[in-house]
Amino acid sequence: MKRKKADRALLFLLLILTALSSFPLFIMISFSLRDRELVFASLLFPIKPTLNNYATILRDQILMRCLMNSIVLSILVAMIAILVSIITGYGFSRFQFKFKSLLLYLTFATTMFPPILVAVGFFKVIVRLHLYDNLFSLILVNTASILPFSIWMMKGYFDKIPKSIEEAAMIDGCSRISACFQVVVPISLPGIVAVGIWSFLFAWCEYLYASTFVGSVSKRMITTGIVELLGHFIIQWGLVMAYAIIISAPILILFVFLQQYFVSGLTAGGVK
Amino acid sequence: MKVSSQKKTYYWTAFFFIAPGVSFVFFLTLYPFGQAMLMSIFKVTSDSRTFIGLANYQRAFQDNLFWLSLWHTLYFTVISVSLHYFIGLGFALLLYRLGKSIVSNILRGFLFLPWLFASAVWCVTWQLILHPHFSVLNALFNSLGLSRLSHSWLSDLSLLPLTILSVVSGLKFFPFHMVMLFAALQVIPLELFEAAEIDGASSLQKFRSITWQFLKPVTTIILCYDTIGSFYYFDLVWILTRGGPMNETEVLSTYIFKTVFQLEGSFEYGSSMAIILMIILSIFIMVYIKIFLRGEFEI
Repeated sequence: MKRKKADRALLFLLLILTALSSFPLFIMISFSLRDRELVFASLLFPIKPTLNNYATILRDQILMRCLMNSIVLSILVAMIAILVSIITGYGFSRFQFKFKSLLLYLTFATTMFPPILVAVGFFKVIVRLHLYDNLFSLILVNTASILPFSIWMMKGYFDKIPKSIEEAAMIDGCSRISACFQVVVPISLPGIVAVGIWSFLFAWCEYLYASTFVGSVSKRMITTGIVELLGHFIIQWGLVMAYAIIISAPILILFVFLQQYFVSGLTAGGVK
Repeated sequence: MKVSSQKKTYYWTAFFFIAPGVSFVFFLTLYPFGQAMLMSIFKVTSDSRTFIGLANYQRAFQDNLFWLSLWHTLYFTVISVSLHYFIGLGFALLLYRLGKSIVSNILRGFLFLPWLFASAVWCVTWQLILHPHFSVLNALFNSLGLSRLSHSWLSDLSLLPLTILSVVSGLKFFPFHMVMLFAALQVIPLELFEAAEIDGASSLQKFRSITWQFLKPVTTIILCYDTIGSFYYFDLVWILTRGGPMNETEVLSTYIFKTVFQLEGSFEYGSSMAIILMIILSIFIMVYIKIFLRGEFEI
């Protein structure tokens, strides 16, 4: 009986703390539903909730352009990361050679460079290659940042698959590469989904590179776009928060359906 | 003869699989790194390149703003990493205590939310909560009759803005620690607790000699990882305060960014500071990579 009471108290405590930690989300939703004149008319709940802000954003060419840019960038980064990490991860998992651990060590060590150092060093390279203000530079630097982790994750998945499976296929006359793609890849789908989600998430949320390597308005990303909205003399909070909701929605939806992949990616090593 | 040619094919196949990905990563990270190294020790003019040695590094050591930013970075890192860890640990233990159920899964999902938002989105929202003109937090305090507690959170000329930034970071990244620690708790065999119960151990004793032993390894790795991440963290400070007011929240990342891309356009000085930043963290980096790849080295 006493135990049950303690459990209920625990649950109650957790509920309150969870509500507190979700407070910013609540603020986002609440302010996104407010009309311009009534933004500060109430504190927690909007007076006369309206979807006008969302409609304004859907008609705003610049903000929609940012969204389009981010969608294209994130999907491309995810696709490249998946393809390269399958091939390289397979290589690291199946072949034994001298200096293999050193190579893995070095590849992984590159993720430990300060992003600001990468930005500074990469900037000169980009200017020299005439890639400044070109989305291609963002694809390159985002993919390079996420790849060591993706390779590591794919290697981990491949390690769990017994070699005998593809050896059987190779005895039947399958080449190494088709054994990899036709036999091993189909059964490592969870790993591929996890790598895809992580790369997508990284590119979607990235801010530093997006604010350094592109300059013109038409090449803005969502992250730089929303921060730009704060630069106006009068900040339209309703609009800003509606945009915050719109650009967070894809991630939240992915999370609801694919929660276990987010967590498995985290526990596989952790990316911020 | 046949064996050696087979071996050759084997190595070529390995090369074919590994080389493209690894060289892609190396080209795009080691090359800029080398570039930054070179920039920090050479003075480059339009047609010549003169070796100036460690002059840029010396300059950093005489630059008051560099030392101030370094101190701010340390302060920010210590506070936000402790917040991440203790909030994360608290939630992990509470959720573990609650046991497995649908409610606990839903709660875990909601607690994970802050981590999912882009830093930009998170900071913009906190900008509204802490804004100098209309701060949701101040308004909340006022309506509760606690107007003594309201402050100009991000524009005060003291350590307050930097502390607030650490708290905003604390509230965003604790789910990472929570998930990692929660996963570590799952592998504790329940028999251990039962045995301790029979021996009459107190809750504190049980925590110290059972739970903590299972949390220790994962604690090392997440603290290392998080220290590195927080030390490098740029978005939050840049979006919320740009290092202001009066450099009160300037951290190394934002100072380097300003030096290179805004104030003087000095890539040389900027890259030398970025390299110092990395050297300071090298111990954490080595420990992290070592633990991370440990499995690999044991095989």
